[in-house]
Amino acid sequence: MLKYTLKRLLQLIPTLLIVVLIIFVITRVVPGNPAAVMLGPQASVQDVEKLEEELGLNNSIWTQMLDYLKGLLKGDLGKSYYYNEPVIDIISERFPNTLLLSVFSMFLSLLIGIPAGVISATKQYSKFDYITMVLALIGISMPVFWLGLMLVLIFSVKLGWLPSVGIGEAGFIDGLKHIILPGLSLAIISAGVFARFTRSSMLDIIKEDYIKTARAKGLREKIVIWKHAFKNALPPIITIIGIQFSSLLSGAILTETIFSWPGMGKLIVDSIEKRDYSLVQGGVLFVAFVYVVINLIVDISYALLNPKVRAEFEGTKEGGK
Amino acid sequence: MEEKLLEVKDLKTYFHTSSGVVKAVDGVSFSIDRGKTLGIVGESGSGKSVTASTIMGLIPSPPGKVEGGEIIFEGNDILKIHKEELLNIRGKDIAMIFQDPMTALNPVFTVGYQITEAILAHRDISKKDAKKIAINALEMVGIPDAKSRYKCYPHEFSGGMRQRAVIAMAIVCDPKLLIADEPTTALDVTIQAQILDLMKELQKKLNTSILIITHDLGVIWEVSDYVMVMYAGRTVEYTETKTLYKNAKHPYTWGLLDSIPKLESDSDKMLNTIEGNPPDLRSTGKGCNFAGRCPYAKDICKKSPPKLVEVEPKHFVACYFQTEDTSLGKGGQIKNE
Repeated sequence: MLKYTLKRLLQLIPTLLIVVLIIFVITRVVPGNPAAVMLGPQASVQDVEKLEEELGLNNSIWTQMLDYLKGLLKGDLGKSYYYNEPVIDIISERFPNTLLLSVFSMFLSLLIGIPAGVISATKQYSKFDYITMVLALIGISMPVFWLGLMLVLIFSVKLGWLPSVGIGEAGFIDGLKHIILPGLSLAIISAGVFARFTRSSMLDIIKEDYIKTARAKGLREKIVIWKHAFKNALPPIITIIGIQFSSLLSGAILTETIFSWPGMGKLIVDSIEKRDYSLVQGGVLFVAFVYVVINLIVDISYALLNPKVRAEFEGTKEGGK
Repeated sequence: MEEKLLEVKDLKTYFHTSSGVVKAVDGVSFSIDRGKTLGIVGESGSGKSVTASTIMGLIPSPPGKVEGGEIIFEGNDILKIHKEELLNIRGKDIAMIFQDPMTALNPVFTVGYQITEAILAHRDISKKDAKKIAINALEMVGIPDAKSRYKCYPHEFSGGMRQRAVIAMAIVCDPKLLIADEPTTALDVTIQAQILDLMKELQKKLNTSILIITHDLGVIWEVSDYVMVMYAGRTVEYTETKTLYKNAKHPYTWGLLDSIPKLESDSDKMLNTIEGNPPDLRSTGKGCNFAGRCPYAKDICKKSPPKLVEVEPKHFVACYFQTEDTSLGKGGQIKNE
């Protein structure tokens, strides 16, 4: 298990190298010049050239990349041209906000989506099932920006119950008030996805013979469903949770923009507009890192859930057929 | 005097599907005495497994529904008792072994845990004691090194070992009735014999009654005292195993017996088969379900279903030509007595 984890962590290196290469090429291909943006439209050509020289933008793209990689080895993500601060500081300031929003909306959506999916599966074709699945479909189909705006319109503008902008600074209650709307707009969509995945995965498992065995033993239906069936139904659900969670962590760009939530998504979009190369590179690299780590966690959780996969990971030989 | 443990009377289990009502079990009657074995034999789709699942209360509903009949277990109709009480019977008094040992065990729990769970569901004892009983049961079904095997996952067991584990799980609460739904079908021949021997041995030790379901008349001959032949959801013949082999009465049973390959027969000769296919279970029930394939069928056979009649002591047949005053010979002659 440990060996497998280490092997997977080593695979991080080539993945991230490729990411660096791609971002470098893309940022340089996009028209626009960070020096010109920083100095504003009134700046003279000489000033712009001088700044370019200082930022090292006149070097070839390969030299720039090599310098960047050298910095990376020392844990240095470079300095933001625009903020004039180390990139790592900016990210570590913004990422907790995204993490908070992601965890909050994830928690909400799991709380709604998983039980809804399980109950739907156990009561297939019942009224509960139909209603849940229609609601889930509506949840999945709604564009997040529209949902966000509707929530703002209803709860902030019409009813005036909840704030619609920022993360709140006056303690826990204020923070909670601020997170509800953006959290909810993300959670509703994820909950729909989870409910549908959970339902279909559970439906497959409920038909298995070992579920019949569990019932034949005289176990209570709750135990049959939540212990014997759900544990087997989990792997595909965890996969989709992983995908949803990593896309939330990379910054829910639209939601963060609507609610002016100072997170990663908004940071990366802003830095692209400003041609802040090093911030874009650092941001995207960080997001890629988060993706890979979550994927790793998902894979490890397969092994924890399924003893057969665990045996394969550990490389022990299988007994029997 | 033998004591009846289970008596099933005119059981009907239907499935209500979008394309019509499937009469999977449509009038089945039999009984099992304590310590005895009844074999139910029939081809695929004849309602054998549905009969077993109905006794266990494991029919998925909807679409399945018990439409009529009684299942009397130790004097109580288990179709009428409360769900909670049924939970106490299921797994404790009546246990079940399934067809495919490769899929009957939950892959994410250890074999030992799954056996212990069955004990703890019915007995108020400590986990430690339950573990002892489970290891004991594993030893009893012939799993070597039971203590370390207890911690294994199903994928670490071979097919035969898994079936042994499934049997251990079933007998761990000393059931009065053991239902075995094709327990050997998925196993290779040498293992089949071992499993059947094991079941016979356990029956002697625990005085359990066994209901064994199979499509293999060889298995019936091997283990059962009584045999019931099912066809398209109905009992067609029900008698002692010896009687069935010597003096079968129903034309369908004749067909089944004839279709067993014999060692001494010429290998170039084609195997005997029963012409035609079983009827669609959505449209059965009008007459004798076998009438469409029966070489001796007359008009009456297609009009109303024949009753199950006791033609001689302990020999029941559902055929118009096998009543008290007429008997059909295998050649097709009807004798009036």
